[in-house]
Amino acid sequence: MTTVPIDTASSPGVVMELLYSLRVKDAMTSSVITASTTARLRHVQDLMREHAITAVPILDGERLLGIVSIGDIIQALDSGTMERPAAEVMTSSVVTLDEDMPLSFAVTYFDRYKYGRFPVLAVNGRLAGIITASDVLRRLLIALNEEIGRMEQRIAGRQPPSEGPLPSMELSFGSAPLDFTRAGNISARFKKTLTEKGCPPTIARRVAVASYELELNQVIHSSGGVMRMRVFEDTIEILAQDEGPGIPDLDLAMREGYSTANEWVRSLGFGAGMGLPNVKRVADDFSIESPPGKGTTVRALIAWAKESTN
Amino acid sequence: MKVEDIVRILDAKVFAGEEQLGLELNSACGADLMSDVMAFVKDRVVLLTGLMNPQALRTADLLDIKVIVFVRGKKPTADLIEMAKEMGMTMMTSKYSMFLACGRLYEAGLRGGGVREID
Repeated sequence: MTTVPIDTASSPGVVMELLYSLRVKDAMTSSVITASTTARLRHVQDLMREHAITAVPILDGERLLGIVSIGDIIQALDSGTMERPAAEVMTSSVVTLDEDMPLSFAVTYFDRYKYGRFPVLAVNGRLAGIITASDVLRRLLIALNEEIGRMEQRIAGRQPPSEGPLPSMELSFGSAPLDFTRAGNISARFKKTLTEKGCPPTIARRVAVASYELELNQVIHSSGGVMRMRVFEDTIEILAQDEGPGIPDLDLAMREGYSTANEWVRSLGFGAGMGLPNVKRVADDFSIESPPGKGTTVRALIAWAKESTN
Repeated sequence: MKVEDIVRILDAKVFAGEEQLGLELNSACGADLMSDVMAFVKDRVVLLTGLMNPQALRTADLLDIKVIVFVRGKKPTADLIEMAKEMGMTMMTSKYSMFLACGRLYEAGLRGGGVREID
């Protein structure tokens, strides 16, 4: 009932692209009906009836502590424990999704775990929304409609398909501050996508270097940000945008060997002071803005025509 | 130089990717800071490093580096070995220090690249 009837390994390319480019937050419901830990189960049941929902996340402030499902309510009705507080019966080991994960993750989760819905967390850990299998299907149907509309237009207008070496596409993911276990995953995803589409290895490597350095900069220095890759007919654009605190002296930051990373970060193999210079070196066009007190935005363009000269 | 030559010259123990022992390599890069590796984008490279963590493997993977050598006898954990296998990477440990390991490979004819001007 709760599985999503889409095979993420062998679906048509257009469906796979949508699943990777759409994010969990694009499909989730953000106005979530929640209850506090002290709410009686009777109140939780009222919420379910009133809003026609089958589970209620239990919060302490904005922090997710657990979830009470309709199954828990049925059990409480059966054992006459409807006056107990939610905290005592809720499931506290809740499987969650991050809002910036590609929608493909949600599809996999619905198939892997037999839950009817997953709470969605924002980068800062607070509850951002909730997602059900029908949310996923509804969003996918909208996206497929748009895509098929575009395909019909193309056929009707007999426009030739994109002349670029790769189909145009856009991918973006969020990075989390000081999360070194996942650092680099976004760049790996960008590179894998390019390679799978037949991008020459020299170009895919340059994109990997630029995005890896920018991603690591966000992880090491910023309070979180977004990495975006866009593929155009003649170029690939990597855009890194973070929420601050910004770079006090850009000239210094662009100098090879200059680093503000601390000892701990260096012990993990970072902070060589080569990050931004490396990005500039592999890019055909490079721009950086970091107004004081605001976030940093870096844009690197890698052109198809120019082959890597190291 | 083939991967099996590197294993012999560095007296190394191979933990993953034995199937690539016949792979031919053109140059080497020795670094503990991953951005220094990033500054050195070349084909068919062996990476020598003292940095033993997932980031070292991830950096190598992003640069299509298929062979990684840990120096100073550092033994990889089961997690890292598993990760290397998934990435199709040959992973080995040499008892030599970074300086000696690089020196032995250079002496045996493997040349680096990436010599850059100091401005």
